[in-house]
Amino acid sequence: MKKIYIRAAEQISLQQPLSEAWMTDPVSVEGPYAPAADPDFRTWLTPAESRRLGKILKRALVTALSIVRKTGVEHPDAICVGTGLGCMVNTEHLLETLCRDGESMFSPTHFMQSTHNTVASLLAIHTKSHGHNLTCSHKDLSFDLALFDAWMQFRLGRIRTALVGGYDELTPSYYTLLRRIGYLGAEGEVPGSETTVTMLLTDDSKDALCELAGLRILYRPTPEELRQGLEHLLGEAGITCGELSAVITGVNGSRTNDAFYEAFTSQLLPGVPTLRYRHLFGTGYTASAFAPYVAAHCLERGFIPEALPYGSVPLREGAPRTLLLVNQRDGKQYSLQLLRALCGN
Amino acid sequence: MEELVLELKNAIIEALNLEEVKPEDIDPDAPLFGDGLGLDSIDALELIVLMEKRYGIKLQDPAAGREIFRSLRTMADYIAAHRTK
Repeated sequence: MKKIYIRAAEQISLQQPLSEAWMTDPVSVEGPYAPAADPDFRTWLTPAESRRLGKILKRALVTALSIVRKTGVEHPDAICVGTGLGCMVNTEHLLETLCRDGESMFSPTHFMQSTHNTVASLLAIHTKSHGHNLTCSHKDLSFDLALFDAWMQFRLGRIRTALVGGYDELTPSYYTLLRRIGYLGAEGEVPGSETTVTMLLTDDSKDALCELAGLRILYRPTPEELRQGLEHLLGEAGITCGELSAVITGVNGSRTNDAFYEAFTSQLLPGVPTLRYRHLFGTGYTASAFAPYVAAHCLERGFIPEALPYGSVPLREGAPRTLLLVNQRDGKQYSLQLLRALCGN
Repeated sequence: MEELVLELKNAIIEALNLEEVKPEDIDPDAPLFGDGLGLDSIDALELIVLMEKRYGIKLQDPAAGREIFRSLRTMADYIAAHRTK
């Protein structure tokens, strides 16, 4: 079976945009809600190209353009996007206008950009990619399912390259609503924030950051099904729990949600060092996209940044070789990903 | 009329997010679409919404739009003659 690799991965977030400076010099962010730090879009897009694009679209496009520039892969075979609520700023504009002025007065630009699949369409237009194009919107598993879709397309031999991304934006009013329904803002939780992560998957190891060695999605698993799922994932990749360099979890400071991660790691991965990333990148529907982004760069550079270790198990000596990524929400749906360093990294 | 032309220039720049364009850059007699300002069909829809929202003008005849939106001045003339607010 052909292997799948992460060739490049870019982000725009709370951290310095389009940069891995967070690995050595992370930006510390306080407060319940923290918007992303944007790059200078004018260095990437002309005013004519960007004038109708909302920020989420500019961010997605600029990360994709950066990847195209770095890798030379201009026309990916597939585009797979995960988003919790799509272009939220445009959606808010549209809804406000509908409420205030009625149905005949809304801006066509806001209308066009209020759909969830606008990002995937825009990436397809700019990369002239007329192949597989899919948007997954399934709350906290949105990105993971987009990645899973790309994974299946590779496994079926239908594609050789794929742009995969997780994108969400957060407005003050949207944050207030999410807080009111108890999704964000639990006591002790890291800031709610926006996500832009784009990565290029290929079936060619040349210049890759790491291998995507396994991926499993489990819906409402029993503890036994979760154990078996993990066993199968590791078994298929030919490794044991003891060989894992670390497990990267989506702990975000919410006591209720973190308890599921703590149960998972203590029961199924005792003695495996635990890492976290959401305290650096914030939390939200597609924040799980930062996990493979973080893991890929750790594996490529051969070290775990000081800011990531979490819990009492000390890091193992030497460069990380295999990282298990766990994403879940309230114990209902789990995503397990296994990333492996390339020989020589 | 010149006051309305200037007001329209600013309204169009804002509605169409023409970041790099200043009011003095827009020739009121140049075509809005194609060569002049280079607007497209989505911009035409934005201008229709702008006319209705700002001046209370609802375009009933789509064919009339071609003449009304020929230039900024023809648009201003139409607005001056038909505005309800």
